[in-house]
Amino acid sequence: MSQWGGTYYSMNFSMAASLSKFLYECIMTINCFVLTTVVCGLVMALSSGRVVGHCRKYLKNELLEAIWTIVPAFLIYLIASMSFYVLYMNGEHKEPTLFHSVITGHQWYWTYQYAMIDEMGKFFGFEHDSYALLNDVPSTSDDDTVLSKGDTYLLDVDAPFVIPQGMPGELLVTSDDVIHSWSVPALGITVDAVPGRLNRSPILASTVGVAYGHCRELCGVNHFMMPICVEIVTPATYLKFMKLEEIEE
Amino acid sequence: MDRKVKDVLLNWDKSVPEEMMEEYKVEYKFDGVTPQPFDARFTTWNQMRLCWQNFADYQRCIKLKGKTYEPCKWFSNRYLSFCPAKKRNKLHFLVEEDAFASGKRPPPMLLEGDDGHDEH
Repeated sequence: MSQWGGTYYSMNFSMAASLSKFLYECIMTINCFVLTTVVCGLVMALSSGRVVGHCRKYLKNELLEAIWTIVPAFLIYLIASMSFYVLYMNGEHKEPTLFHSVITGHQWYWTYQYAMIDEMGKFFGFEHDSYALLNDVPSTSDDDTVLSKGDTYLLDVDAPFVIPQGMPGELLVTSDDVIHSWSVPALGITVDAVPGRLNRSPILASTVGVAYGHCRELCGVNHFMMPICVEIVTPATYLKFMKLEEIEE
Repeated sequence: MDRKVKDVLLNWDKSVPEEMMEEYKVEYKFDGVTPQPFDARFTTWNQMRLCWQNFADYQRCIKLKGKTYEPCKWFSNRYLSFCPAKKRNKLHFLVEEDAFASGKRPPPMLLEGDDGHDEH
């Protein structure tokens, strides 16, 4: 998870996030190399301008022209090949999906809908809302959006979204009112929630933990207070969680 | 021709040889969960059509075979997994009001004497 005073990306919880980070680091390295080379060349050319005849070296220099055509082309090829690798690795799962979750954006909270079919073919499904913890003191007697010790303001929610670790699943994101965007950087997922559309995104969490995110599309005055909290649990816990909720209903 | 199609569609589960069914069984297993395969009819990122299609199929299935028929559960599981609550409530409302056109009657090819062209 993200930590106080951290200046880098949060910890990865999925292959998609790791690959995105890998791509970022590779492209950043190439960028640094290009920037250094160009700045050095520019400084050399400008500072040696007073020496008579120096700039003639750059005129009709075929070797130099060949180099500054071939090297950038090679760098672009390198970036493109890495981008395509990451793009296609983040696509569909090879395995069939084991669970589905429909995420609905509202002004200004999220609704999570769970669905899973057990080995006997029985359907398990339920839904719950997820509000940010904003209050220090409960406003009403049944108010459960109160911050307790250890909770993070504007990141923790009263009912987090639960997904299993190591099970390929599918998220279906939609909205009931305006456009929202469900985004968790630690899982490498950003899906726009558009009313009338049901956007699909494959998900496969690789480690157990808690990941945080925010709504990424300006959706109204309280856009800042609809955080996303994802709890990644072991498959056995997830199965228990699904069946427990069903019995309670 | 018409009757043949109807027979195949109504008894599809009996018409496929068992060896063939064995061959197409999903091999990927996870304890306690039934995997759901990718639906190649809906390859786009927008899956709203999949939700509607499975709901319509479920309504047609229970119209033809009754609610107790086990394979109809496949469609119901599928639409319950995919439909957002708002859409699902809207579809249920349409069925209750007898206004869901696609689920009201089976597909035209299954209705006898519905299509005059095939009779001669």
